[in-house]
Amino acid sequence: MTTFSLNGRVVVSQEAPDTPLLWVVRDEFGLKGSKFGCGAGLCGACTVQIDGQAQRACVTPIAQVAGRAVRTIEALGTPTQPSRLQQIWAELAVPQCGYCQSGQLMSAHALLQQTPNPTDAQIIDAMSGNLCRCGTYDRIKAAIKQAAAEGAVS
Amino acid sequence: MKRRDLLKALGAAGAGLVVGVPLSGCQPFGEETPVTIGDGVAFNAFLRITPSNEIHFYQPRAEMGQGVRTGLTILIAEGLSVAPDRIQLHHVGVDEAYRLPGQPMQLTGGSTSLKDSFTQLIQAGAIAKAALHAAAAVQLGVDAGKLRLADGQVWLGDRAYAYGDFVETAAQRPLPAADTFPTSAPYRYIGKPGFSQDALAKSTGTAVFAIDVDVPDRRVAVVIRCPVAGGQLARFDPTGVPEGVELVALPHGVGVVAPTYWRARQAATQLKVEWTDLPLASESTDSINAKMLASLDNDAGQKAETEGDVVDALTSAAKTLSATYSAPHLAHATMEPLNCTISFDAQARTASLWVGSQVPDLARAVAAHFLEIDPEQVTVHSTFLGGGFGRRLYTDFVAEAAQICRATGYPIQLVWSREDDIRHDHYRPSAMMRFEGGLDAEGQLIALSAKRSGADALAHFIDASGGALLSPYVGWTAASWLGERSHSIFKRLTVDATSVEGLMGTYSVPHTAVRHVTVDAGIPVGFWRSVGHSYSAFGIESFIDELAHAAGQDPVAFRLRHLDADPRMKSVIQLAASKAGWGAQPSGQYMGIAAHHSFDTWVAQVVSLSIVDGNPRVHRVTCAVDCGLAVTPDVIRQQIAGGVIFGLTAALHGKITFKDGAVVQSNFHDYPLLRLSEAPDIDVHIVDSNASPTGVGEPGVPPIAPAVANAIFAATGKRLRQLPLRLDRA
Repeated sequence: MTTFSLNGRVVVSQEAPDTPLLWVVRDEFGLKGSKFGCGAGLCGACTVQIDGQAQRACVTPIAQVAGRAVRTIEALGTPTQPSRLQQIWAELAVPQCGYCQSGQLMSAHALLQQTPNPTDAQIIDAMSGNLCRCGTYDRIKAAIKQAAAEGAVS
Repeated sequence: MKRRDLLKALGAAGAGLVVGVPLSGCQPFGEETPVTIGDGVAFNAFLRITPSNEIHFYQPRAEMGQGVRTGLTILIAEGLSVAPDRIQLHHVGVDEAYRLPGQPMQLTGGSTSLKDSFTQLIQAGAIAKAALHAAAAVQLGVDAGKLRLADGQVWLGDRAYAYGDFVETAAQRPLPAADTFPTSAPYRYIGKPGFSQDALAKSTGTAVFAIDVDVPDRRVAVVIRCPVAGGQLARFDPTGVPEGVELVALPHGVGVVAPTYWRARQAATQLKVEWTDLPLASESTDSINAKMLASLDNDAGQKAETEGDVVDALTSAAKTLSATYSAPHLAHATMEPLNCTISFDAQARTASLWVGSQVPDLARAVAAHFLEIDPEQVTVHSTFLGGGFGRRLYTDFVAEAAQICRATGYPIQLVWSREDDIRHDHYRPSAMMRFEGGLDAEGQLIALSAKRSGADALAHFIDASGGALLSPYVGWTAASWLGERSHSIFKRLTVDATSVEGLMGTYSVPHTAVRHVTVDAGIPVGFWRSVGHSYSAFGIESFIDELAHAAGQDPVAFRLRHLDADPRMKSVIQLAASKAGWGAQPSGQYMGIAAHHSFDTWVAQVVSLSIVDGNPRVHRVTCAVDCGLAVTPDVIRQQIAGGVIFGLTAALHGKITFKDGAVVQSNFHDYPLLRLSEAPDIDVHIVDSNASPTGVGEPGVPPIAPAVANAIFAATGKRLRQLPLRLDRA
């Protein structure tokens, strides 16, 4: 059993301690926004925030988050009440297939929380672990810059 | 099609309410009036409107990121005169009403959706609009000429009524004829920015992909497959596999079934499996390349196309040039690994399939075959596709899921790992291309020949899908047998058009010849975003650049002087060159251009790069595209830019290699995709046009590799003729 905070709610996982956080979030708690892409921490589709830091949930054993705060894309906002960052993402029509975008948003959100006005180099550094096969990188950069300019993430 | 069948199709989409007259090429047939069921009226297979003024669009194409839902919704909106954001979309299952006009199945591929649906969907909306117009006149007791329909409302003077107010009256009246609706400008919604159908769902993690589908009591299956394609399972030793995990022997592997993905994956690592009958075990990339190269020298191959007398013209040319280019096998690497969910009711002999597929009818046929039930008894629930790029034209993963479901009785969600995906793809076929060109004394290209060797993607598709493709006509076994015959047909009787498409470009050359040699080691190959153009453009557009330099001419000017017969190509080249500032690049930066026509769309790209630490660093790509009428300018920019990134991954990194018949690469560490840190700025300029609209999903890919190679030549004087482009090998 592993107890941790998931999107502000205390939860207890019954899965084995070496189970990756990704599958606990998706299968045990039914939050499907975080995606499986590579299972090896190489693509970022599974990115969540652990104590505010962007982390790859597919290579994070559940035991490592005991007592810590996990946030997934579901905590950022909903279609009826999206966060400003998500609105900007939609207004700029960033997503194509959309599969990687939860991870992109969680990385971008973590970046902007820590660095409200990131330089190009800081954006590249924070976002280059998130792959997008459709090639939405130019709009991801533009969305992050607009969010920074608006102070969308505080 | 019968009304009750369509009801089933809509029911599969979760609508469950209504039906109307299906459109086939816009001609209503079957019933003469729309139909009321539940609280709505369906005017055709695509469109249902309720008295409470909900507008539902049953959208039949696979959405894999190409923006088809945005584009097709705008067509409905234009015909119906209602803002596109007022329209609610539903994925549909499988039904013949949803085949593209003139096509045998519900295929999403080949950049065809917008091109082939343009008239049909505008008219689907316009038929409903005309029916509502007539109904409003009756209901309001006024002459129809006094009513104006705009922005989702019926106007009588300055009084506005909702469309929904008139649907019940419309349902009692015959539908107007379908050929009375023009599909030409001026447009209210077509060509306007600001509408993106799925962006918010995809920005909130709420868009449902197949992998997100949860069916009660489902088990998750993974499959251990023979690392060598075509190899068979000999035996397996389950010692160490935990309790509660079930194993299913498959012809080519072992299914491992557990309550969760992680437990199935962990159990699979415990399993010891032996294989037999490894037909490709002696093949490697080196041995395949050697055969392809030898065939260029020694095998005349088949004639694909010819014009004039290229041999004679080459002999009489003032200057001749020859060059050989190569491209490797490539994996699709969709971000969402292949997966689907199947549940089977053995008593009722019915099944449900949740899948993101570019060919839902083939997926249905495959599931039905392995469950031994009628395809009509399989309900397909389509989802968003986490990338397609051609990979989801194949149904191998559905076959595995159906077999495991049949053997265990559980609802099964089958999930491939990334390693499975990289190692068991239907790869973009590798290719070798030899070009010969002859210039006259004025530097005019008078002779151009190309010969390609490699495997045939279409032959492999027909083989891989033969059972499902042909089983409506003959039994499954005969259909599979027929499918296998495709290899010898394309090797000996006729050239697979996808193997040689694009090799000549669209240049005006009096003497040309294209030949093809099928060299097929048996590696599974298939359709990969832009298909044959993905390598042919690299060949021809690199070679044209070489010819320009041999003629002592500027590469843009040289292209233009050979394009008098293709003014649309000329104009995209001129537009891209002028927007990029061709000939006036910043110091230390070098430009290369390439242009290619594919899927009825013209694209030119100018690359600006510099050499950093011995490697090319692409700074900017300036694109010009002519896809006819720009229905969704923002989606066009998205797709062309996305095509550039997809093509840059292939140009700079992409390579699948084989050793002892098995794929060497396994995940993104050794099959890297372009990262944001490498992504250039991309500008997309759209040619203003009223010509028929064409697709943009694929045409952005082909020009980028040769544009980069040509820029590298400009920067270094080194001509790279092998993909991926590596200066350290030059």
